[in-house]
This record gives sequence, structure tokens and C-alpha cells, in this order.
Amino acid sequence: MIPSWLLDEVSQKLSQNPEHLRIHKLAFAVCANRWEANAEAIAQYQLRDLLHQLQLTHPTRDDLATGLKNLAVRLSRPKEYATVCRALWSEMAPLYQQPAPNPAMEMTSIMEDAGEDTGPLVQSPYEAIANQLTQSPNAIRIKKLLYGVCSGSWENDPQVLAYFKLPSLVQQLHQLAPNLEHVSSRLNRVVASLNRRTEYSQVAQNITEAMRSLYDIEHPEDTGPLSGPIFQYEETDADAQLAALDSDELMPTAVGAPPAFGDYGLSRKICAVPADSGIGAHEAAGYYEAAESYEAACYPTAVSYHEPTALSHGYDAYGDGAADYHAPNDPAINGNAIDEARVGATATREEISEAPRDRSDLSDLRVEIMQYTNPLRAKMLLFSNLHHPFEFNSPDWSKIRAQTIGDLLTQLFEQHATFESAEQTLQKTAQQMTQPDDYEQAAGAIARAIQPYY
Amino acid sequence: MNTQELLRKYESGHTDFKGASLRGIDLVEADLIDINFSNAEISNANFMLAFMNRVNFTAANLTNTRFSGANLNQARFVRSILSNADLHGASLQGADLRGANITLANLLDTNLIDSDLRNANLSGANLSGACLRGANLREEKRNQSANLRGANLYQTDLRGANLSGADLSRCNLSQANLQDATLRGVDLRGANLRGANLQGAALSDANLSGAELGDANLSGARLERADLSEVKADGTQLERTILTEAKLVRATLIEANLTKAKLNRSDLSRANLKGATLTEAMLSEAYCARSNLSHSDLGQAILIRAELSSANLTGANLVGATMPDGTLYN
Repeated sequence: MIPSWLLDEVSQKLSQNPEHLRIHKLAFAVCANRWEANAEAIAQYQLRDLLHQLQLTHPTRDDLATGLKNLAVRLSRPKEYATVCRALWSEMAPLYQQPAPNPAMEMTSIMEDAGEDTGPLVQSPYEAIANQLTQSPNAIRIKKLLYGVCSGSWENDPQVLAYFKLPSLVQQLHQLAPNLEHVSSRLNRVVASLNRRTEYSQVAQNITEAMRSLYDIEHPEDTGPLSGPIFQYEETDADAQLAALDSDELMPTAVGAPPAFGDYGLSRKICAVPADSGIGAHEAAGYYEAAESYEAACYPTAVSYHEPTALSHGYDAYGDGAADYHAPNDPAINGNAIDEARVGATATREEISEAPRDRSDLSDLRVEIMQYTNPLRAKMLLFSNLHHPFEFNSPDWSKIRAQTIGDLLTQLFEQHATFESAEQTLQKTAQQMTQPDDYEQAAGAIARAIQPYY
Repeated sequence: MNTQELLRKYESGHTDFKGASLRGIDLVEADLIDINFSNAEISNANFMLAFMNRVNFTAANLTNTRFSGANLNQARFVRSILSNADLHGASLQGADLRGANITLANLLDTNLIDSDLRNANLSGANLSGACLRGANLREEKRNQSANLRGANLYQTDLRGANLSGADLSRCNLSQANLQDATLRGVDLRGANLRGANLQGAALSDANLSGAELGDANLSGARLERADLSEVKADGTQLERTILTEAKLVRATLIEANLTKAKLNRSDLSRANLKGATLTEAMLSEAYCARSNLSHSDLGQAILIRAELSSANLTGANLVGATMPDGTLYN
């Protein structure tokens, strides 16, 4: 873990930079994978927290450089932001000079070192666990839960989730939890706060089981020779399809050549296929879509999820302000429809992302809410969420009559920078009302309607 | 008849309460689906959050009655009296309100999608945040269109609504959604349309004199022959707007966007268009006596036979414009 004082020191130094506002925006954009022009919304996130998140999601300086570069090229002011990127990257150097926190981390270093010698054949235990987890029919939920545990917030947006690599999330959880019991308790704590606890309990169990080998490595005397599932990984068609989704991790098919694994003396197979292996990204995409269909069915009006595709045209340009933001012109992308043909044609990790809807005109949003829930209950819930629990007395009636549902929704957007934050707080408020069932229905309808605006 | 008696009868299958006297009855959150209250006297009653889908209130007296949060989808209010009624956050989707007296009623955030409001009187009503998409406000007979005089239409959603002939003078329509609405010949004198969405709206022959149009969006709207005298339209979006023969006398259009707008034969006398964008605008035979066009962008505009002799063109960009005598400015 990075010491708190170091984070403070780095963030303080960056805050003194004349371009500190752009640095803050940039750090937020890389963390959230979306551009936020509203300075107030960004100010809600402390720079030190964003830096911490950046370091966690970009385990090496090279990763950070790639992350920043990938964002900078999409900005409409690339020159200005190139300087900002450089400043951020160089000031964050101290955060990458910390010693590895535990043996597993050391092992990662060893493997990284070994990787230089053995080329692409080396795979970290985190990648192996990630690969194992992606075989699960609950692959999407696994990622969501891991993200939830690591970040402390819930994320449904496939676009945001796609940005976080599963191996990094596994690594983060490993760093957070000193033993397997901690892994389990951290996961279950998040599960307890979810609606679909039964499903996610199973998911938590899957993750815990998959991560067992990491802790066994640290205590080899307990389990004898290392023979956990991650090291006996066998390639299957499904694995290959999943691996093909992530071109960053594409490696030539391993043929023998077990790499020297430091003192552990391990051997294993590599789970990847060459890009031209004939396994189409479209089929792989189909796998993901099937996995997500259950969730999508629960949110019939929500955006369709197509996690493994990344075409990024929705955010083909970022700018320093709202005026620089270029919404996509393609109606197929702008609406809920996804250009399937394009998904099929797209090689691997490109993703179709949707631009958030324009919040300056909320009339469509109001129609959506009015048609699926009681407008008055929706207002009472929003009011209770933003101010205090609505009481059926004159002062509260006066207050609720003084503003429209649109005014309340605008305040909701101002208070919650992310959809997850808004959704969670609405559900929580609903549960505190006198007739929670009615208000939970309203909370659900509002959440579904506001999602495209994030 | 008191509350218990009514509920007992309804539960036993009795749904016809035609002409009943139920003044001041308290039926909060009651389930009264399909009940018949036609010609009933139900003033000062309380139906807050009640379920009243398809209820028949034809010709009922509902003065001062409270319907806030009630579900009244597909209910019939034909010729009913809803004067001063409270319909805050109620749902009246597909309701029939023909000829109803809804004066001074509170319709804040009310769902009126697909409702029939022909000949209804909504004067002085508060329709802030209400949604009237697909609502029928069409003029049945001459002088019998929906009356919205003095109504509060802040953030009201009237997208695609037909308001031809309506009297909306001095109405608050700020931030209202009037996209693709039909407002031909509508009286909008002195109306507040700040931040309103009027894209693609039909406003031919409408009277908007003295109206506030700041930050409104009228892109692609049709305003042929409309009276826009003394409108305040600073920064307004008027891209591709059709203003042929429109009257813009003394209008304030500072920094307005009139790119590709059609202003042929319009009257822009004494209008202030300082810093406005008029790129590729059509201004043939436009009357610009003492118009302030300083620092405006008239690049590639068509100014054939336009009256510009007394216009202020200081710092204006005229590159590529076709001048009044037909020559190309370069």
C-alpha cells in the first residue's frame, strides 16, 4: 500500500501546478473513463484519491503512460493536455517506487523480470486467476463485485468496467486482504448491500475459491507443492474466445516451453490464441452478451450492454469544456441501438460507448419517469433524498410545490457525479420511507430513466 | 354518504354513484377503479394517491377537490368542474377532459400525455412541469380552442401539441418544450419563452411581440409573417429559422445565431443585431433601416435589394456576401 503521507505529498505538489485544474480533470477522466467538464462535479473527488486509484489501476509507470496517452489522443486539445499528461506522469513517479507489499507482489516482480527474458510466455498469477474467473458464466458479475470491493462503489456501466482489467482487480483485492478470510468477508460485506444477494453470494464464493491459490502460495507449507488451479490451466475454446477479447494480452499459443518460475519451479500452459486464429471476436462478444442478458432483462429500458466491444466513437473527442465535447452523430450509437455489424467487424477490444444524454433538456427524462411511476411519489422520493424525509405537513408541501420534478432531477445530477451513487442513495432513501414498497418502485423507475444521462 | 359507507358499497360490487352527494369525502389512497361519479357533487373531497383509473366524472362538480398523486389514467372528466382542484403529480394519461373547467387548478408535474383537452378552460392553471405530449388541444370550433390565458407553463412539455389559435399572451413558457408544436396564429404577446425549446415549431402568423426569447432554441422553426417586434432574443438560436416577411422592428438579437436563416422581405428596422451570426442568411429585400449590424457576420449572406443605406455595418464581416446591387463583396 502507498503510505498516506506520500499520496498527500504528491497531490499537494500537483495542486501547486498552474495546470492543476486540468490535472484534476485528467486524473478523473482516466479513473472514470469519461470526461467531466463540470469543475464542481470533479471537485467532489479529491486529487489524492484519484491518484491512489490511478496507481492501483495502473500498476506500472508504463501502464500509466499508456493510460494517459490513450486518453490524450481523444482530447480536442491534445497539445495542451500532452503537457498536463507529462506533469502528472512525472510527479506520480514516487508512487511507483514503493516496495512490494507481500510475497505475491514480489513474485509478480519476479515474473515481470522473467517476462523480459522469456518474452510473452509469462503470465502472472493474477492473470491466471482472472482467466479462470472469466470462464464462469458469472464473469460479468465477478468483475462487478471485484470492482465494488476494490473501489468501494458499485458500477454497472460496462464502459467503465471495461476499463478496469480483471487481473488488476484481483491484484488489488489481494493487496487489500491479508488472508483468504478477509477476501471472503470483504466480498460478503459488499454482497450484503446488493439486491441480488443470492446470486452474488455464489459469485463471492467463486472469487474466494479462485484466489485461494494466491494465499496458498504465501504459505506453501500448509498445502504442499503448488498445484492450484491457476497453474494447471488448460486452454479451451471458451478460454481462447475470452482471451481474444483482450488484444493487450494476446500472445502466441504456448507450445511447451515452461518458463522458469523463480524458486517455485512451476510450469503451465498459456491461455491465449493468436489474433488470426479464426476465433471471431463476434462470437466472443456473443458470449459476453449472453452473460449480461439476465442483468439487461432486469433493466429493460437501460442501455444494452456490450462489454467487450469498445469502439469509443461515443467519446471520439474530449475537450476542456462542454463546448469541446463532440457528441456522436451516428444515431445507431447515440440511441440505445448498437451497430451489431460494427461489433462483428471490430477486431477485439474496441468498444461502442454512448455519449450521456444532454442534461440541459430533461423533458424526455420526465416523460420516462411519469410513465413508469407515480409523479408525486417520484417527487417525494427525490425531495427526501435531496433534503429530508418528506413529511405530510404544510411546510414540506409548500417546498415540494415550489419546484418541478425537473428541478429536483437537476439537483440530483448535481449531487451525484456517478449513476451508482445516485441509484444507491435513491434505494436507501426509499427503504427509509413509511411505505418502502411504493417508493422502491419509484426509485427503480427513476434509476432506469436517469442512467442514460450518466 | 360517508367514506365507510361508500367503500363498503364499492367492495360489495356497487360502482354506480351517479349524481351522489359526496362533498368533502375523504378517500385518500382508496382503490376506486372504474367507479361512476358522473354528475356527482364531490367538491372539497380528498382523493390523494387514490387509484381511480377509468373513473367516470362526467359533469361532476370537483371544485377544490384534491387529486394529488392520484392515478386517473383514462378517466372521463367531460364537462366536469375542476376549478381550483389540486392535481399535483397526478396521472391523467389518456384522460378525457373535453370542455372541462380547469381554471386556476394546480397541474404541477401532472401526467397529461395523450389526454383530450379540446375546449377545456385552463386559464390561470399551473401546468409547470406537466407533460402534455400527444395531448389534443386542437381548436374544435372557432373561438373554442383550449384556453390557456395566464397559465403557468414553466417546463411544461407540449412537444408536438397543437395549440393553433390559443391565447398564450403573457404566459410563462420558460424552459417549456414546444418542439414541433403547432402554434400558428397563436397570441404569444409578452410571453416568457426564455430557454424554451421551439425547434421545428410552426409559428406562422403568430404574434410574439415583446416576448422574451433569450436562450431559446428556434432552429428550423417556421415564423413566416410572425410579429416579433421588440422581442428580446439575445443569444437565441435561430439557425435555419424561416422568418420570411416577419416583423422584427426594434427586436434585440445581440449575438443571436441566424446562420442560414431566411429573412427575405423581413422588417428589421431599428433591430439590434450587434455581433449576430448571419452567415449564409437570406436577406433579399429585407428592410434594415437603422438596424444595428455592427460586428455581425454576414459572410456569404444574400442581401439582394435589401435596404441597408442607414444600417450600422461597423466591423461587420461581408466577405462573400451578395450585396443589394447584386455584386459580390470580397
